[in-house]
Amino acid sequence: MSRDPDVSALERRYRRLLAWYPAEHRRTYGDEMIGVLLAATPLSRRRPGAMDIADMIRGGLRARLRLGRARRGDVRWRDSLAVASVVIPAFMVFYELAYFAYVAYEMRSPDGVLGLTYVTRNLLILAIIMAFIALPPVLAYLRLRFAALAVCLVQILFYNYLAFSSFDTRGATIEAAPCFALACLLEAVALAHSPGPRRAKDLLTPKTWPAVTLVGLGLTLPSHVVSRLFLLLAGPVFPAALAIAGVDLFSSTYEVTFIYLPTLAIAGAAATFSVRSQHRGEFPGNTSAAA
Amino acid sequence: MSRQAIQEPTFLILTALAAGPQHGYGIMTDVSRISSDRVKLRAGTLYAALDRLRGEGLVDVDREEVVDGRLRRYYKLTSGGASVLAEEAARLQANARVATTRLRKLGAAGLANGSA
Repeated sequence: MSRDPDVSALERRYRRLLAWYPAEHRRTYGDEMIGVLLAATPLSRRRPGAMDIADMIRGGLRARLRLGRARRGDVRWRDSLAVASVVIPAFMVFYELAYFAYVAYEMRSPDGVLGLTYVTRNLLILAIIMAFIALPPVLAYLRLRFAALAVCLVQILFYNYLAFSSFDTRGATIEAAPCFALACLLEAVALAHSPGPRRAKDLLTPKTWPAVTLVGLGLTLPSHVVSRLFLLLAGPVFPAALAIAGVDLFSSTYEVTFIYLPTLAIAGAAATFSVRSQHRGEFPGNTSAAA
Repeated sequence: MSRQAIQEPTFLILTALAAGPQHGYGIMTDVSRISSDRVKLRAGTLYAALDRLRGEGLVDVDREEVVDGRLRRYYKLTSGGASVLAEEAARLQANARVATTRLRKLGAAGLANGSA
């Protein structure tokens, strides 16, 4: 029959429109909707009508909005944010430790004295930095949520100040400042919209901690060891990856990821751009700036 | 009344299902018929509404069939859906009654004024 290819082309176009709907909706109603759309379309038509396209887009966006609203009250969604409230500062700590270890390794001398001197001289600074990072979840754990959010705000302002100031010296915090500002913003969101670290303590079992540690080290270590260019990728990616991992591992609600991802992508892109403009000419491939 | 007034497409979908279980395309054509072609539901609007109504427990799946290799799901009104529809019908009826009574009075007054 000559109509078949047309019908399948029409079906394909309708299926493409289904992408506007959340996966859950597609799974439940997708085939059924295609059947209804095809039944309601005159046989002579090869493409979806403008009204149908508008209706599908409107319906899809409405379904996503409704799902988002439902998920916000969802315990799993709040649980994954609770996990994120602990994992975000943990990743920042991993990052600082990895950088510290990397610099100590780079400064090594045959007798091992230089590397050791670097470690002993900077140990106190490292401890202060790590305490500063860990402060929001600790305060939240002590049921001082407003204080925790206030510290997050201070951190965001501080990292933004570092990101947009010019320093002669380099350090882990300075290089990762835009990413840290983003991570602190996520931390504030996680603390504001979830039961926080107390709940995370129940969720993070001895089985899940090694996984979180491995992902954290996997994402932060190469940024120092392989090349500094990797920092540009790893920096914005790590908060995004941990949010996705948190959501997917602990809640299995992929729709949440879909809503969360564009926001993270925009923030990540902004952070990357910021780091790039800071390190103009320092990285391979940045020839225009180096010229 | 605790429940908010339901929108016309929702009212018409529930009315369509009050006649018995129907599949998606059946509901679409029935809604057109009930509203004398004034309301034309499209698939996107229909399934967004059905999903919401199922979530609210007003509509449920009656049965599923496979026709020409395609899933066809029949939806039915639940008892909760029937009582919401009855409530809404009563509300609309009461409003319509008040409007009709007042218009009748207005008509009578208008006639009286006109003849004076």
